[in-house]
Amino acid sequence: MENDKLKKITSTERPSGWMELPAYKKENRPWVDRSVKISLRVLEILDEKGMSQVDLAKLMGVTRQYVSRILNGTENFTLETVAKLEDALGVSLIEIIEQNTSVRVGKLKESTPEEKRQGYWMTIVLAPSPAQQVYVPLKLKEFKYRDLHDPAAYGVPYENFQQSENLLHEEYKGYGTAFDASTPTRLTADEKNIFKLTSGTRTFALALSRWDKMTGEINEAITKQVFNG
Amino acid sequence: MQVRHIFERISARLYVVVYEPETNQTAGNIEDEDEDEEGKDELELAFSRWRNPGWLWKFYSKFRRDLQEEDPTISVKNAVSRTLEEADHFHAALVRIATRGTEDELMKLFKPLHDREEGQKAYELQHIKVKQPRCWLRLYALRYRGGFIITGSAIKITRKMNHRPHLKKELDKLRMVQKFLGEEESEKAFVYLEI
Repeated sequence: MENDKLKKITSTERPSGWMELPAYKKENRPWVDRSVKISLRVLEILDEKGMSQVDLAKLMGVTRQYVSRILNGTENFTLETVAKLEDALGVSLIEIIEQNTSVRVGKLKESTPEEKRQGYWMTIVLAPSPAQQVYVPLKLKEFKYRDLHDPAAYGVPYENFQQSENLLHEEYKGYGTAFDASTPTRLTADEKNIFKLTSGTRTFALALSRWDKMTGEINEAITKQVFNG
Repeated sequence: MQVRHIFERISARLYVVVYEPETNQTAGNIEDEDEDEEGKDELELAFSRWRNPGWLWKFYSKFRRDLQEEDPTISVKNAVSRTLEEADHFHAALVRIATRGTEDELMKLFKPLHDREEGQKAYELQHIKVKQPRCWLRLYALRYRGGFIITGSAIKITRKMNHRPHLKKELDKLRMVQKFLGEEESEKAFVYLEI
């Protein structure tokens, strides 16, 4: 700009750092993205619980300034910090899916005529690996109240199902048995809208938060956790 | 409220202001609670806030009603996530213009503040169709002798600037820089940048 006045009042004290901010992010993208996700989850929980940053700092035994850094999304968390956060908030922020046991949730589809004859109306297609798919037929909207009196048949106590009556949306109700030729598999649901898929000695927990009846796509369905034993 | 410096930064035609600390400190504002903002110029401030989940969460919580009126289905968390993404796009566009853009592109990037904004009627203004109406990020600048001086930034959810104190403050900052520059300039005008 050919402007002598502006040149005179323009400082040369230090360069602006505005360009470096996202460059920093790009360079550190793998962990910064995760840090932001943790920050958002922590902020969401604080909001839900009506807790302040000061409350969280006290529970964690750290300063409010440190909590502020955590929530700024630029903290390269140590496992110690994550553990403190999880303990203070009473939630799990990082869940480990063991190698070779993760389940990708595929489509919810209408069962085959043969499966329907057996009482299974819908089928979740799970893919533990690209080479292997597990089909989990579900009895949806077919709950018989009397069926719930037999916990042995469904793997969860009757009380849990009773609670789930109000919490689970109609479409989410159900149970099923996977037609996996090599491994006996069973699907159950608990009061927190978590479906547990027991296959052999492993149990996968699935959260089916929403699914689209038109396309059969399960939105926001995630594999929550894997238990061994 | 006082201008401390005007930095020459992005190109020969783009400047950004650094204010005295008290300029960006107003009781009850989100800005008060960030200890690391002192000494930053207005571009550094804009992008550090727009990329800060904690700051954005406080902001959208404070203006939750505005958010709901704009989009009843949006949550604070969604608004924060979306802003984080938009800030990256915004920054990338500005970097591109600053490093490789032509003078013409720079001139087109900044749009005159609409004459519905109170107090801006004296300037030559035109209606600009917004490309992405749901992007709320704004940089404000003063057009001055063929270049632009960035005076501040805001997240603008409401239609008019005088509707919310943090937006009104941006108008005050524009006027303050105008006054700081001294004599009346015929081509001096208030403009804003959005992506």
